[in-house]
Amino acid sequence: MDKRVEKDQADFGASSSASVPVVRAILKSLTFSRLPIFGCAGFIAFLFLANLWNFAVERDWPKLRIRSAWPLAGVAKPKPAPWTLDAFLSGETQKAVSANLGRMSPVFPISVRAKNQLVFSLFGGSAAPGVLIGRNGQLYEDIYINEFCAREGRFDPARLAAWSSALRDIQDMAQARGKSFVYLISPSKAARYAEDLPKSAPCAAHATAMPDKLAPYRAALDESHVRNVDGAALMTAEKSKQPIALFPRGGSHWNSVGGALAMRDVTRAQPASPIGVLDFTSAPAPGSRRHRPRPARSIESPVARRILSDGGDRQGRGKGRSCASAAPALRLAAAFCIRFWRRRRSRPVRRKSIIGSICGPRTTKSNSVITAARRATRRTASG
Amino acid sequence: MLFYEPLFLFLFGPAVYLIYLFFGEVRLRRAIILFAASVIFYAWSEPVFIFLVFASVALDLYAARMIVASSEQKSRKLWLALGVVANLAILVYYKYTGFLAINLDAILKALTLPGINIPQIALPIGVSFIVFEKITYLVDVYRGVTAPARGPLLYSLYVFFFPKLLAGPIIKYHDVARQFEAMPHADVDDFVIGFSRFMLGVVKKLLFADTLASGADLIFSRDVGSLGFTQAWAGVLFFTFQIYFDFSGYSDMAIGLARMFGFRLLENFNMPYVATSITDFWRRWHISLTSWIREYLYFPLGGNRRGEARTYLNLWICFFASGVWHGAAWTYIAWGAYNGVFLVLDRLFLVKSLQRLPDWCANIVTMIVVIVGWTFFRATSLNQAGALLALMANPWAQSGAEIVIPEEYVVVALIAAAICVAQRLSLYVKDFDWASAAQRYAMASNSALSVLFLAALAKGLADPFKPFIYFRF
Repeated sequence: MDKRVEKDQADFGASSSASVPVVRAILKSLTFSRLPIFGCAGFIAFLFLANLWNFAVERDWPKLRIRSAWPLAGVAKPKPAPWTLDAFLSGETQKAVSANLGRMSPVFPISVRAKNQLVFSLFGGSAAPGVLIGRNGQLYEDIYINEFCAREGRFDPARLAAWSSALRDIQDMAQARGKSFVYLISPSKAARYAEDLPKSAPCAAHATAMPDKLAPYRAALDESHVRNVDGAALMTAEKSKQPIALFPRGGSHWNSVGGALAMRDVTRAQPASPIGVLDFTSAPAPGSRRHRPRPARSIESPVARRILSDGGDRQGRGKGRSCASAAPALRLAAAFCIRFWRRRRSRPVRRKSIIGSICGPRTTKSNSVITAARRATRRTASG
Repeated sequence: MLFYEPLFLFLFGPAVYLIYLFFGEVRLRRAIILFAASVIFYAWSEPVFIFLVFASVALDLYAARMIVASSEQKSRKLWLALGVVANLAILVYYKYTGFLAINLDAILKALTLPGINIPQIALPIGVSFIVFEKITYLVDVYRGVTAPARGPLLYSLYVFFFPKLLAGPIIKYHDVARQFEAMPHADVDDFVIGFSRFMLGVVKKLLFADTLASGADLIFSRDVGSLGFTQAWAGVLFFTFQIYFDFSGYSDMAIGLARMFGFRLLENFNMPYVATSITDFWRRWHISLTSWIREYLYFPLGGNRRGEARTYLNLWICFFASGVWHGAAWTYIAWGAYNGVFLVLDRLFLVKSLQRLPDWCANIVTMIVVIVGWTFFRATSLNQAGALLALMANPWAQSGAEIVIPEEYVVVALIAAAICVAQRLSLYVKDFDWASAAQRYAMASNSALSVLFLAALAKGLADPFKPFIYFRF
């Protein structure tokens, strides 16, 4: 170790140190009281080494990356930083690199959780950007609150007419191609559960007396003869009838129960479509609490049964499986419908059987048709 | 690249330090490592402007050599003027062209003449600090306070030294010249003291300043018409604490980082909110800037050697210039002029009047003056500043809409206030200061600091990015 310049040390009040062996000097300095400082430095060093390791293995052995054992759910992977001259000169590369490095850090998930939990536990508030906690523990996104509170009931008739006319054109185009078109007005949680808006919302004081934004839009759709379903009005109507809330307390969008009700009305709006009408009865699943907004219900319907059963081979027997939410069922329903649209032209026979089994009313005959059609297909494939 | 960004904390910083420790046995190598790291640090943020800084550094070195080589005073003054003007030209071009153009345009249009339209020029990071530091070198050489730099590497390292590059402290060349020439190797004590100071800065910035910033933004972003007495005071108080923790936090990080490399920079803050007069406040707040203004503006203007009236004028000009330096906006200029007025009043009668009061009372009066000044500093326009001050002076002013301030902002503001009050209270205890107390109870204070540092890191990772206030100057 170099000797300190004695004059500098005298100037700045530090005692000059004689040259001591490095190891002795380090050990002398390692007093117990300094351990927390060294601990933090060690933590920084660990993260530095973790970053280097992750860079090294990223491309060829991504599974060897050091990462959190409990990653955040639903967080999109950050876009790779743009390494172009223009992006570097404009500062885009630098921002992206720093942001990505932070997000990919193994301690990022725990940092987010710890921060949010601390703020919630100590102050009952939300530390997540854009998320606000309303009354009764309802979560809202501030963009939806701002939109709701900005509603003045005013609208531009010319713009409205152009909008509905465009939708009519889309409907006609879809019909010309043999598709069905139904316009679904999706509800806003801030509008449907306005009574629970947080006090910080600009319109909290008169949230339940806000002007109806959708009336002119509904009128424009009806005038243009666009088939539509008013999901917002549907949620309002069903809110008091359903034993569970149609928007999850911790979520921003309607839950699967709300979605299923809307899907039912969508299919009812176009009963002649190949999908038919999605109809169902429902009851809370055993053990679920009635008036808590945690949907745990089964949907007994031929549609759900077909989707949830093993490849549709069961003869329609057995109860529709109760599931914590009907979201998987709806996703599968959507997948089947898409498959149907794609195969419509090439396999009319199969389509017919699929229609009968998935989208038609519950009959034993249609179940047999499915099974028979599948057996026939397998025999053909096996030659 | 900021000190609390993941890129610096978890990649650049540790890499540079490890390279410095393991390859920096030789003085020259240490200088090269630090210089290279500083260039990369600045080029990462300003890949184009850095070339202009290199050119300006070359000009400074040449001008300094010519100043020393010239025998005639006139010639020496000319080289000094050339160097200073060249540096100020950089500052004026990047920082004030847009502001001058906008105001000239407004005047021309008011006179029904065709206006002018100049595109906005992006302000390079740290340009105000870099230019002021380079001027100190030229003036110090001219005054004979210091010899010209022994080589371009040393002077370049002084200009680009990354711990103080972005937002100060403004380091005068003669204060650090010997350190850069000696290039001491850091030891374990330097590391511990430096890193502890750095950790303190991170805590101040991420846990306090950023939270208080959210509170201030909540109020200042609203239409003033919707605010009341309480909200106006809340917003300004949030900002009062925000700017202190933000800037002193940055200074702590800069001083701590420099110490980790074995360099000792001068302090930039000394408990400014315990000041008992505006003069005292400016001896404690942004000390490096005040010191620069005194040495390189106040003294050349004549200081207090040309009569009382001229002294007051010089004082006012210095703080007016300080306001201009802070930003190209009328609010900053008004803030500087406002402070200048109080400096003059201090000289005239105010300090004597305040000295007759108990210290805590004088402190409160001074804080009110400072808080009013911060209103100008933070406001986006003179209109907003005026409207806020009117609300602050009217206890019966009611807000048009309820503004809910999150509890955590209030709690952090109260803790910040408690820290400032504790600083004042410590002055009443004989032979007590917080630094010594922290050393006496080192285990407890280091443990608390470490916990807060980790919490600050977590918050910094989880939160969206918030730049330093003085980053913009």
